[in-house]
Amino acid sequence: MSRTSLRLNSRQCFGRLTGVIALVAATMTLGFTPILGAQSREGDLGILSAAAALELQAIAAYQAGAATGHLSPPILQAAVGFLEEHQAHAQALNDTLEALGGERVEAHQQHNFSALPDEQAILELALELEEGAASAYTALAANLENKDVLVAAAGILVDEVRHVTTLRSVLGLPVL
Amino acid sequence: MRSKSLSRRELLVGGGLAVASVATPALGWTQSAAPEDVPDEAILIAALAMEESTIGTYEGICDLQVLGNSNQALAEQISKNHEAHAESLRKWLREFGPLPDSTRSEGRGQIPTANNALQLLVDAENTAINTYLTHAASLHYRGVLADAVRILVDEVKHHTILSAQLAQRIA
Repeated sequence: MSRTSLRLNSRQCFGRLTGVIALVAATMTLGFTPILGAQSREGDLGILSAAAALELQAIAAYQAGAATGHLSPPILQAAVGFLEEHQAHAQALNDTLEALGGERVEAHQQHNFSALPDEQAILELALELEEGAASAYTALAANLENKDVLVAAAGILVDEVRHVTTLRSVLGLPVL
Repeated sequence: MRSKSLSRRELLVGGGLAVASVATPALGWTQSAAPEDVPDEAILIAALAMEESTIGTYEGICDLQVLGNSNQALAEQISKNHEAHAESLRKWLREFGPLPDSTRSEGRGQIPTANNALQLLVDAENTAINTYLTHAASLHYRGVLADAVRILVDEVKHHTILSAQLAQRIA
């Protein structure tokens, strides 16, 4: 499986979010729509499951990138740091899913990142996945009903945005 | 050229790692949300005061011209972002009633070095991040919360890039 395949997998993950985001789009225009509290457990479970799937894919990507041997020591150190944060996110999301009565999301074993030829390609792939995750959390945070889940999701969003900003800086892309 | 590029990467990545745990709260289901009985208007007023104070900090530091050309431009751009945040908050406050008096302050006294100035801006952004993280869960209306989340994203970008710039200077 090539990097193209990874992108397809990535899109499959985003596809799982599509329905949720579409549902959300209408409420985003209703500024004074009240947040109900923990009264819409199913909606939160869907968002959390999709978020956990994205985190697991990011973990797989960083693990594969680190294993290529293409990363210079400081980039590898950063990648491992980001990987550990994604692992913490996935753990927190799965624990929350379980606490809400949902099912844990398991990692897929089908990713193959061997086609990543150099550091630049790995960084670009990481950025693509991080930007997808950050966009998803930004779009969906306001639609979580459970306040505790919202607090945790906002903390994760902070990490994702920091990853995106750092990767964009390293790649010489605009950050603001 | 390649080694120069990598060197820049090293510094930027170092900056990114250095701020890794600055503003992120502990995760987990058991974490308590902020009290829920605070009206959105009160949170908006507090956020607006924080944004106005931050704008004052940026303007004061920009007036001192201690940052150097690239960081001066960066600070001016971020200051404009904060102006947009403040206007977004005012838009919501107008829905609730009259706007509060501005709390904007002028001047930062003497700041001897660019590093001191950058550290002050990093601290201001960290305060902003924590303000939004602390109060987001207390908001009652989705539209207000959605805007608060978007502003939080901006604050994290500011904090990350300024921290990287500071780390680069220190290195």
